Formats: sequence, C-alpha cells, structure tokens
Amino acid sequence: MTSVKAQAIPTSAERTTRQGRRQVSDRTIAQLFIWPTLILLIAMNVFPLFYSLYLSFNDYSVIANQPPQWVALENYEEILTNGRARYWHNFTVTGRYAALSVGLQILIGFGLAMLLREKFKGSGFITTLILIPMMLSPVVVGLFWKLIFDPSKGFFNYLIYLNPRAGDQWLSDPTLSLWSIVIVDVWMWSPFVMLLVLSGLSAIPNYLYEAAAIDRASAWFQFRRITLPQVMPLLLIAVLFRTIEAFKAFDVVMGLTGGGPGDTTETVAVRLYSEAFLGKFNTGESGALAYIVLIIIIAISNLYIRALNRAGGD
Amino acid sequence: MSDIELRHISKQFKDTAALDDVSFSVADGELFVLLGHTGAGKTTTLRIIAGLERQDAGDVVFDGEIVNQYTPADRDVAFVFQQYSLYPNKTVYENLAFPLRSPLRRVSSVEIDRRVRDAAEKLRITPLLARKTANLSGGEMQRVSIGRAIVRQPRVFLMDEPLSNLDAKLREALRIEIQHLQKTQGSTTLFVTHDQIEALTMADRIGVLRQGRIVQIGPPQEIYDRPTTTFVAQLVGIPRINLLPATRENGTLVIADSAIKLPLVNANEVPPLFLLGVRPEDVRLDPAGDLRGEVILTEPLGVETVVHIRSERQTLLCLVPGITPLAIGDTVSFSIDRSRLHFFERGGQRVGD
Amino acid sequence: MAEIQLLQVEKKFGEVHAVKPMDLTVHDGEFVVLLGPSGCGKTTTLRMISGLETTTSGTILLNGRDVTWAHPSERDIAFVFQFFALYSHMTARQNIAFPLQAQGESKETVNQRVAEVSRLLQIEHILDARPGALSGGDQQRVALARALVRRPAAFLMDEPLGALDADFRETMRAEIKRLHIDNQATTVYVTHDQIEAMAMGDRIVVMSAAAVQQVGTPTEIYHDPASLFVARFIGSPGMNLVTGRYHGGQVHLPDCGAYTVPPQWIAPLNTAFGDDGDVILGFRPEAAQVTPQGALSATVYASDLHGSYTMLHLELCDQTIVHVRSSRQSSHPIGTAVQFDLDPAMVRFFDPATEAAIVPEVRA
Repeated sequence: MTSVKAQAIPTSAERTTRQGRRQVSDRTIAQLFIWPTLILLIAMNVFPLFYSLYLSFNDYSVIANQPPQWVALENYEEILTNGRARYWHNFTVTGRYAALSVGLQILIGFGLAMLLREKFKGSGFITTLILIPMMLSPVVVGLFWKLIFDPSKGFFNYLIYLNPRAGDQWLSDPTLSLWSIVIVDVWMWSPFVMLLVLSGLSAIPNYLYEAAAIDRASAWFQFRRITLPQVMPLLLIAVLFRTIEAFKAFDVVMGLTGGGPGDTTETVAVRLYSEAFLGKFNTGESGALAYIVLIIIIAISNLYIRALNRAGGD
Repeated sequence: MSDIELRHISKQFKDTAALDDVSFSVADGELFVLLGHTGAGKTTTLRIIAGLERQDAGDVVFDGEIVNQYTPADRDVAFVFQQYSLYPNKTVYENLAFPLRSPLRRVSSVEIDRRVRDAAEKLRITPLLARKTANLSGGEMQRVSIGRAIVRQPRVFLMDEPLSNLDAKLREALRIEIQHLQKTQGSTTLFVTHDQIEALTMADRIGVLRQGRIVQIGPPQEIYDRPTTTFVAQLVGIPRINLLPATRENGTLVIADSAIKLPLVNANEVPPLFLLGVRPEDVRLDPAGDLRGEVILTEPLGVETVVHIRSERQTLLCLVPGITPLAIGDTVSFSIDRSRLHFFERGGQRVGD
Repeated sequence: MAEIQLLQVEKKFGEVHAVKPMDLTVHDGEFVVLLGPSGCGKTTTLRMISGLETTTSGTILLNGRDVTWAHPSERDIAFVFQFFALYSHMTARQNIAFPLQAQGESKETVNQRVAEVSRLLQIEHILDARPGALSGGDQQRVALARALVRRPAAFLMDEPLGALDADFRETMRAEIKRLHIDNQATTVYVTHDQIEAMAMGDRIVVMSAAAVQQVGTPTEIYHDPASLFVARFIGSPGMNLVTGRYHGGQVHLPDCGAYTVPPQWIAPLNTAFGDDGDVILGFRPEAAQVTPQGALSATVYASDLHGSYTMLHLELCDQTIVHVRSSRQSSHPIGTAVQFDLDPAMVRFFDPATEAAIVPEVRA
C-alpha cells in the first residue's frame, strides 16, 4: 500500500500549486461568462428604467431638440387633474377588458383542463392543437382576426348567424368592439390557463380520490373539497399572469381596432403609445403615465401574491 | 491503512449548527460506527472527512497530519454512498477497474486485473464481472460499489448508510459480509447509520450523535449496558427500553402510577425523583415473582414474544422466549433483574453505575 | 361487523397474473395479515376487496352479499393507505370529518363523532394542525381516525406503518393491535414486514409470486413453514437451510459431519426419499447450540451482539452461512472451528425438488 500511495498522491507542494492554479482559472471563466450578460442587462434594462424615471420629472420631447427641463411632479399632476377624465376612461376600459378576458379564460381553461385530464386516444394531439393559438405572434393574431371579424367576408358572423352578411360590425360597433378584443384574447390565452390547471390537476395524487371514493364522497363533493382547493394555487398564478398581461394589452388591440372606434377600446397601453409616439412625442408625460401603470401593476400583483401565499400556505 | 482523528469540528448551515465541537478518533483497522437519527449530522461528518464539505472550525487529521487543505482526491478516501453510484452501461469489471484507470495513479493493466479479480473474489461477485451493472439487483450493485472502494486501497473507508436501500434479508446478508471483510482485511472504516442493529452488530466502537453533538462513545456492549443518557438508552435495543418515572421512598424504589415496588440496594446514589430504565429482556415472567400485572397485548415475533404488562396505569414491555400461550387479560407474576436496572435523572443523565 | 370471503378471486394485467385464483375467508372480528415481498400481489388483493381494483374473475362476498362489482362507496369498508392519503389542504379535524360530511351527516353528529374518535386515538391536541405539520405517526393516527369515524364493517390497511420511522413503527404497531382488540373490527392488513405480520396477525396469509404460499397462525407459520420460501421469509434471520444427503437415518452434510435424524422423522423421510436422496435440513437460529460435543462442525465467519444476545454466523464446508443464537457472554473469534448441535424438536426437512416441507407423521 505504501508504494501505491507514493505513486498516487502528489507531494503537498505539488498539491498546493495545482490547486491554486485551478481556482484562479475557475474564477476567470466564471467572470467571462457573467460580464457580457451583466453589461447587456445594464444597457438594455437598468439604464432605460432609471432614465425614463428621470424623464418623467422633466418637460421633454424626444423630437423637440431641447434638453430635458426639470418640472418635478408637474407631469403626474397633469395626468391626475386636467387629463383625468380621459385617462380614467382608459383605465376603466383596461379594467373591464381585464376582468372579462381573465374571467372567461379561467372558466374555459379550467373546463378544457378537466376534459383533457383523462387520457384518451388522441388526447395528446388535441392538447397540442389547443395550444397553438398561444404560440402565435399577437400581431399576426390581431391581423387575421380582423379578417375573421370582417362583416363582409369574415366567417365569424357566418359561424354565429350562418349568414356572413346579416351580422354585426364587430370591430366598428362601439358596444361590440371591446368584446371582440376579449374574444381574441380568450381564444389566444385560455390554453395557457388550461396548461397551468392541467399541471395542477396532474399533481393531485390519485390516492386522494381513492380515499374520497372509500369515504363515499359524491363527484361534486370531491370537486369542491379536493380538486378545487388543490388547484387553487396554480389557478391564482394563472390569474396573476393573465391580469398583468391584460394591463399591458397592446399588440392585439393595435392589430384589431387601434383603440377605436373613437376611444372605446383605447387601453392604457395604447394610450401610452399614442402619447409617447404617434405625432405627439410627449416623452415626459408618457414616462409619468408608464410609472403610474407600473405602480398599479405592482400593487395588484402584491395582492395576488398575498392571496397565493394564503392558498398555498400548507 | 490510516487512522483518522477529528478535533473540535464545528459546522454551521445558515443559522443552524450542523456539528458542534465534534471530536473522536478512529484507530487503524477499526470499524467505527456513527449512530444517530436523520439530521443528527452523521453525513455531514463523513463529508467533512472526505473533503466534500469544509468545516467552519476544527481539524481533520489523517495519520497525525492535518488534511484540512486537501481536496477529496488528495485525501485518498473511499466513499460508499447510499445510492450505488455505478456507471450503468459499463460492466461490473469496468466499474471496478475505473478508479484505477485514473492517469494520476498509473497502475499497470496487469495490476488492475489482479486487484479487480481479488476484490470480486472477496465480495463473491466473480460470476458477475462481465455483466452490465444496470442488470444487477440492489444487493449486487451495493457489492460492486463496495468493491470499487476496495480496489483503490484507500487510506480509509467512509460508508454512508450503504445498506439502507436494501430489503431486510439482503441487508442482513451484506452486513455480515462487510463485517467479515473488514475484520479479515483490518481496514479503517467509518460507517454511518441510523439503524441501531447495524451499529450494535458491526461496530468495534460506536459514536452516538445527537443534534450535531457526540453524546457517547464506546464499544457496543457499553453503549447497550451503560447508556449515559435516556436518549442513548432508547436509541439502542428492540423492543425499546422501559423508561418509567419513579421515586425513592425509604430505600424502596416505587414506580409512579403502578403497584411496582423494588428494594433499592444503592439507595444513596439515587435521587428522590428519577427515571428508571429496564430493558424488556430483564423483565422476567416468573411464577415466584412478587410483582403482578395484567397482560394487555402480546406480540409474537417467532423467536420471542413481546408481552405488554400493565400495572395500574403503567405499561411494561417484557421479552419472553418463544411464542407465549399467554392470553390478553391474563394476570402474570414477574420479576425484574435488579442487577441490571438503569437510573437516570429526570433530565436524562445517568446516575451511578 | 363483517365476514369477508374471496372465492377463486383472480387478477390479470394483460396475460400476467397479479393474483392467481385464491380462496380466503376472513372471519368476523379477525385480524388477517397479507404478507409477502413487493410485487407478490398482496396489495392488489386488498384493493380488490376494497373495490379500488376490479377482479378479472371470481367472487367477493361481504357478509354473504356479492360485492364483486360494487363501487368502493357501496361496500361499507374503510381503507388506510400507506402514505396516509390525507387531504393536505384540510386540517386534521376536517380530514376526519370528511367521510361524515360527504354523507351529509348533521353538524352535531359530525362534531360529536370526531371528538369521540380523536379522544380514542389521543389526537385531540393536533386537530387544528394541517397534515404537513404533523409527524408521520400523528398523520397515520389522523388517517386511522378518518377510517374509524364512519364505523365501517371492515378495515383494510395497506402497509400503514411502511412510511414511518422505525421508532414510531413499534409504537403504532402496538396501538393498532390494541385498537383492534378493543373494537373487534374485521381487519385485513397488508405488509411486507414479517415481524409486523407475526406481531399483529391472528392469521397470516403468506404470498409470493401472485400465489398464496401458506395460511396459518403466527406459530404455524414460524415453526412449520409449508415451503422453503416461507421458511426463509419468516424470522430475522430466516430459517437456516442446509442441503445434505439423507442416508441410513442420517443427513450427511458435505465434509461437515452427519446429523442423526430424530426418530419421529425417520418414517416420513423414508416415505419421501426412500433410503437415499437429497434433503434440505432446516432449523431456526435458536434451535442450535454451540457445544464441543456437537455433531456438526463449522468455522466462525462473523459474530455480532444484538444487545440481549449474540448471533454467531458459522460457515459450513460448502460455504453456506448458518446463524446460531447464543448467549451474550459467548465470544468466538472469527476463524475458530466450532461444533454445534440441533434441538431435535425444532428441526424441519424440505424436499429440494418441490421446495415443499416434509410433513411429519400425525402424532396420535
């Protein structure tokens, strides 16, 4: 054994140098990986974040060729006083849109998940089909739904009334325009809710249902007392994600109605866009608006997360 | 082989102390067993010795040399894990030869072949050498894992619950083989387990670990016969030791809530309030015995039967040989071997001898 | 309470038998243990009794009523699962109340019965905790309470102690048995742990490879195993089994001496093997004594202390290891040669060809 040891184990001097070299090179490699990412992150995310915050306290327009002028809270005041009526309208549109589309997505997504929970022949294929809308680009979705909703050649009305010419002016009727956006959003994102719920359902161990069957629980009792509470944390996550997304609703709206007719579908994000760019280039004020939206989203998320912690507390 | 010594090892994980001033030594050729519950710090100790984990304070010493700065490879220990970490697509032979193929070692292929066959012979796995390890049973896999440790001829063997993934019968068979191998090879081995039977049966010495501290070190017989705390007393022995609150009244031992009274020999050493420990085999059914109780449960195990005897509100477990004809509700006479009583303070510390 | 009868009950998955056709009667108030290694069909059998698994053929009778195709909820049985199967989002109290609420019992009844059963199991102090916050033992107590609260006709338990630490297992084993003694409820209990089976069962059904090997009381199973499988499986360690040659009233072990067969075994062995044949000699570790006068010789392979006794592991000439129980004071260093003898009342014989036990003459 002694001879083997002499071969196998380097002297302690060798050991230290070898070790020392290795440690230095490890660290260098780690830094080589980290720095480019860090620089990119600072340039693309961190800097714009703080610069836009700074601009929101200034009178500034990117096309005015004038340096930013410090006005403190004036932009915020403007939004909350003079511009209040129209901004409030934007927020109510967004709120109604969020409530309707998230609510429908949860119902439909949950229903689909319950249907697809049992494995049957072709269930994998059907699941994949259902997931397709989620994977499409929102702008493309907006554009081809515009065709589908088209009162003269779209087949949406045909589906409902079996007559393409009898139907409604989905995109230009002020009472229907918001609904059309909701329909598209539900079509696109219900699969997402379904996916989350499906993973929640599959995580419920089968023995809970076996125990319930032994305990003589009815199907409805099992759903109410086992399925629903067990899926609740994931359901809340779905609601949180979809609500945040709804507040940012932009691309589909632009693709479909552009905020119209009038301002009936002008969500906060669309308004923000028109303030910041479309002819006005009101950079300072739109910065302030963006920050107000950010604060609201953070507040809502916090409420959800609190509810989530309570639901998943065990 | 080598001897190992741990000097005042401490280790924190976040705010919890995983190990607190742990010191012990394993002599050259000794089989030392660390016994404790899950989370007591057994595995952490092993990992610190192997160099997989770094202690916050204290020294790890091999053959008198402090090895704190050495990497696991440099410490030259063999580690047998609970999960058999074998290469599934290689043959048993290749798995055994693998540790020797390291260019660092420069072992000739003739020597490799000799050592692999030698290890296989000792572990009775020679017929398996050509098999892929993926096709082996759990017991065979663990043999190969141990074989892979043996071929290296390391300075020490560290075994982290190597038997706990096996079923009872295999565990027993392999335990006996490890014991035989270790004794005939004289290899320094540190064996970690939560199974008191493994500890009692295999160890030259046992170190009992509780919440990161060593509570007792000694040969199995001593751990069993003279546990220093109620914790150790309850940790070893199946069925578990009877631990009963008792009082000393004028030189008589009275077990609380029961009709059991015994004369006390060493009355002066015993505090007025204490815990009495009686191993179930020291409670004997004895027609001439002056103690009485009611049988409330019998558990025949085959070679012996656990009889639960009730006296007023206390229950005493008693081990009788064979399968007893006693029925539930029977009144029995019994005696307690007074030379084998254990006395503990209410706090758990052993009193007297 | 209830009597459970299985008549030629069989379960196949595709062409593979999970349970070969079996008959079994569990009498009213009896505690029957289904024992066997994993995959032997014991859990499938239990699940067929519960209705959680369908049968391929055969009939299951509960109190004489054919329930073969009845839904679990129509069988009036309670099932205790290995991993407790508690509802993790409910408190212990809600878990226990669940079966009563599912049947629409009134609030007072529910409260009263939950209080009753939790007093019985001494879990009143943990009723408001969720399962995740409880120890394994307490979780299983809650699961037992949930089973008891409905007062079912029979209890089916699937390795209820399998997920517990060794410490808890011993305590819970006694608790469950004690509960059964007080309740006298018909119970079918599944385990792979032979110690548990011996300690708890009124009768034990030993299963292996989808078939019943032996049905009997713990004493019968331990002392008179019907086959080599049962002999090996019961006991820790199992029965020592040594292959030898039966000839002239003796069993000759290769190079290790000859064992003189006790007189009562001569006739049955002659019937089985004539005057010359291979035989397997079986004896429990406590049936052997190391003594200088012993007829059999071996060398000490290992020896270990078990607290109250020492187990010697002896290597015979053909490398078979036999286990011999001896006093805790005995000390035999590895490698020493020893002689040992067997208690004539405790030896058994097996036919190596059929693996079945040789049946002794019926003593008049």
